[in-house]
Amino acid sequence: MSPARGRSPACPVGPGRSRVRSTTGAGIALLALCFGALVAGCTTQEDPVDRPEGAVALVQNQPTSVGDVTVVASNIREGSAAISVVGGAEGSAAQGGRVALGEAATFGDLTFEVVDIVLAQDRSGEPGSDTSTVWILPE
Amino acid sequence: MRTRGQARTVTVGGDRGSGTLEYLGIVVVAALLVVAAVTAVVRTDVGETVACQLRSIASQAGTCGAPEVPTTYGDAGDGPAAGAPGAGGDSGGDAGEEPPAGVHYVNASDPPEVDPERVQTALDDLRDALDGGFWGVRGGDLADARDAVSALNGAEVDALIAGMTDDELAHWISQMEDGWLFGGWDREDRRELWEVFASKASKETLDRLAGLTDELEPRFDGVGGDSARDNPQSPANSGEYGEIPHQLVVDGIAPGDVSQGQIGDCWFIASLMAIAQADPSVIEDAITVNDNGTYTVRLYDDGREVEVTVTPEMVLDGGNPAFVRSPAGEDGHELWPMVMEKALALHWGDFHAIEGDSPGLGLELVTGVPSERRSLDDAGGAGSLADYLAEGGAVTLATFTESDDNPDIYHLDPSSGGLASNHAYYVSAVDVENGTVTVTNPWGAGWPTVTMTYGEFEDSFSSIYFNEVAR
Repeated sequence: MSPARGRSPACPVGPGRSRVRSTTGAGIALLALCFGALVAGCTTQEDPVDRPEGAVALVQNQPTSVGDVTVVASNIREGSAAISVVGGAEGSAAQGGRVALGEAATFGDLTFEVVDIVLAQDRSGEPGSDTSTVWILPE
Repeated sequence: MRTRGQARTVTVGGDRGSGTLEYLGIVVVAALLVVAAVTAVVRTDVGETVACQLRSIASQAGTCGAPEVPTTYGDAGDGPAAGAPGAGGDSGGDAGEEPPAGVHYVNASDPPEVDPERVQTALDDLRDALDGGFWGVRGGDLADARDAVSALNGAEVDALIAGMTDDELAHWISQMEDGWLFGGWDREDRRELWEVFASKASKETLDRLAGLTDELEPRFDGVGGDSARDNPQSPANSGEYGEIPHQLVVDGIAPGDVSQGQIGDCWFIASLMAIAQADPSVIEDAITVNDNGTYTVRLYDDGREVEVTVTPEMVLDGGNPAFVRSPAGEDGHELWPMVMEKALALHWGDFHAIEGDSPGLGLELVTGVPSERRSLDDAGGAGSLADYLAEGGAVTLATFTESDDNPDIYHLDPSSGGLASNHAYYVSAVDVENGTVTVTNPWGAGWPTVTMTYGEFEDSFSSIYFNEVAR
């Protein structure tokens, strides 16, 4: 097996995304810092956004393994998303529902809380192009 | 106006004999200076470097003959793995020896016999072609190099590459990408050479070459775009190439073999499933198994047939396929969906390139038959749709982008009969008697199909694509 190929130094402020959570003073400071780095030549890596340890990203319509189950976030909106879960120890049928930001839910073998939602800026492209993301924290 | 004859008459005038001698001396000295300058340029590659830099300024690309910095691939990402051919650096020895036992793909056949003389001749021809001289390595030289390789069998290709140093390989690749002024090859020409290697060489040889170029194994570190950047669990950051136990096909090709993974290629996966339902032989015929354990896939690019050879190594995350998946049985994973997906990624450049596109194009890429996009109002009714499927056609669909105004079916969760926005589906069944249409989600096994009345069907999708599959 071969390790993953390295990522090139990246521009810290990625276009095509907007955050749902309110922007704080610290956020503004971070943006200013990132803008400075951008001007300096995009030589720094983006600082990770502060999310709980163990949070899992669900990109819209992309089945993602979380433990024994497969989870998909779909129809993502500002403040909520449809979360669907399939599989698990009993191979249970798909279950799911709309979950709001900050809420907890249990579907099948998975209990989780939605801790963040990041909407893609351009959501009008071809199927598969919308990279809006829901972050969940499994229990 | 003076003719040439008149000029010659004047020049040979008696008073100017000494002047002619002086002139001749100047010409000789100038010629000597030119020869010295040319020699210096050839020995120092100044001309080549200047030309390359000029082109690099224009194209914002290229390495100008400097060794490529290999992306991390292989054991340490800094050249061939220990024990790999060429790991000894600048040995540059003969290639007429028996190839090393080597590392082969799991399903590779026994390697063919090696003719040392053929290998040595090919290596000599190759080195001659890559020498270039003053004019550098031109297109014709690169074609000669490719011809030298093409004439060899798989084991001989392994022996040839084992006889080349890393510097020689890097020089070859850099000349393909950054040859002398107006030289080099475009990606299509380079891919033609890589096809020769990929369809013949062992894993050991291909691993070594893949450490020097991205055109053998498609990159995946751009998958997810910016959204993956701060997600350490994204396959873009945690994936790795590896070979899992597999069979190309288990119990025939069927839509149920396919489940979308962590990549935005629902449009292609839905198309694969629709074609597998319409005529599995189209996919069976599209994949050729090579003796070295790799797979050559026939795709269509604007109706033009192209062949893309992929290794059986897939992007894995935690030991499982990261992108398209198939059920794992006693014979391992059914590999054909992964082979098709990887071939498209390689043809288009990398895995990120296949994120987001039209499910009509997905059908065309595999069948070579143009898809017809129609208005949902013009889809012809349940009877017409059923006839189209019964005659071997494939039908794919695109859903609306996310909006509060979407039909009610978008407000249901996909686990309970709802549709996902900005997604692709295919028509898997039509019940004419009851007037219903069933569509299937490319998420695959475990996810419910969605059955709706034909009226709901007409209102629920933004686009519908028809493809006859067979010409």
